[in-house]
Amino acid sequence: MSAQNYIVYEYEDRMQRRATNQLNVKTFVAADGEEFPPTMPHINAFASVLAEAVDGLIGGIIRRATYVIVGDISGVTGNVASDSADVEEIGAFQFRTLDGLKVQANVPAIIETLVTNETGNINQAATAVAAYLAMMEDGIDLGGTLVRATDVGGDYLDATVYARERSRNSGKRRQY
Amino acid sequence: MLATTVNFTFRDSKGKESVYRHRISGGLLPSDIYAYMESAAQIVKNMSAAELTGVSASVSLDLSASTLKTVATQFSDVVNGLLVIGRNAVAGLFAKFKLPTYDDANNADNSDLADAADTDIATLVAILEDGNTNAGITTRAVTTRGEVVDDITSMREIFRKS
Repeated sequence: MSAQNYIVYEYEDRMQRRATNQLNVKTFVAADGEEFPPTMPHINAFASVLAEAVDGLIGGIIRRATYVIVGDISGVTGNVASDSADVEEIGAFQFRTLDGLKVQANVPAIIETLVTNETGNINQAATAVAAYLAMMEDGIDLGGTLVRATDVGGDYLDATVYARERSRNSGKRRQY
Repeated sequence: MLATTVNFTFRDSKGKESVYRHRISGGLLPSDIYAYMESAAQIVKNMSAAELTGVSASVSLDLSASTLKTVATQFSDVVNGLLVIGRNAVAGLFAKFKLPTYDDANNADNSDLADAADTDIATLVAILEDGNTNAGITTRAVTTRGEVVDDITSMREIFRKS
């Protein structure tokens, strides 16, 4: 993997002010020290033990813990920003889950040629858009493991409601 | 089971950044999440004129097995922290870990250094230096270059906005 995965803890003090910290972690075979691919039970067990140890040293509360897996983008092709790229020009997509719930997804700096002239609608038949919609509606098959997009509750996305170009402030938000 | 959030960070030609995210089902192996991110990164990038600068996935951890306080103490303040510095004794690489809302009752008398003889401090040092072994696998703290932290060299109280 390209960078270290890490655990983020979120804390809250008596005034409900929040802060975070993070710790890079890796897993190893105990017997010989060889690196071992991370599994969630091991990461979770470590996070729980560490949380309990930290809890004895702090006055605040630990609100939650998150394991962040850092991906590798070195293989992404054509990965440069065009001169006209603007992250405030977004491709706004709305999907529907199997239970009929709505899910929004906004692609920054949507490529202008993917937008149908004068309508603001994104051309869903364009190759790049069709591939994206297939990923969101049907998932990605990882050679036997199908990984599907969901809503926050884990309900699978099933259909596209709309795809339009919009403008909005980038407003960078929390990333963990 | 909570869904996993996948985050894709973009930067445009003016240097502005924005994060695209969507969720995928929970309960996946980290290796599957990693493989998914590699495939999805190209698909999402093909829609955007901006540069993709990073991709990550956030998996919620379950701390219900831990005994944790549920109410902050009267003196807790996120500005007050304990800065823990550890290193890999062979490579000489360092890692830092800050504990917000640190309770200075754990300091040595008349000092801003954590009391090494304090039981809670010793417990934290043991976990950070030795990790936690579960079913034959040890999870350990590492530096940004992936070297294990095996020596805590400093634990000092600090005041800093997080």
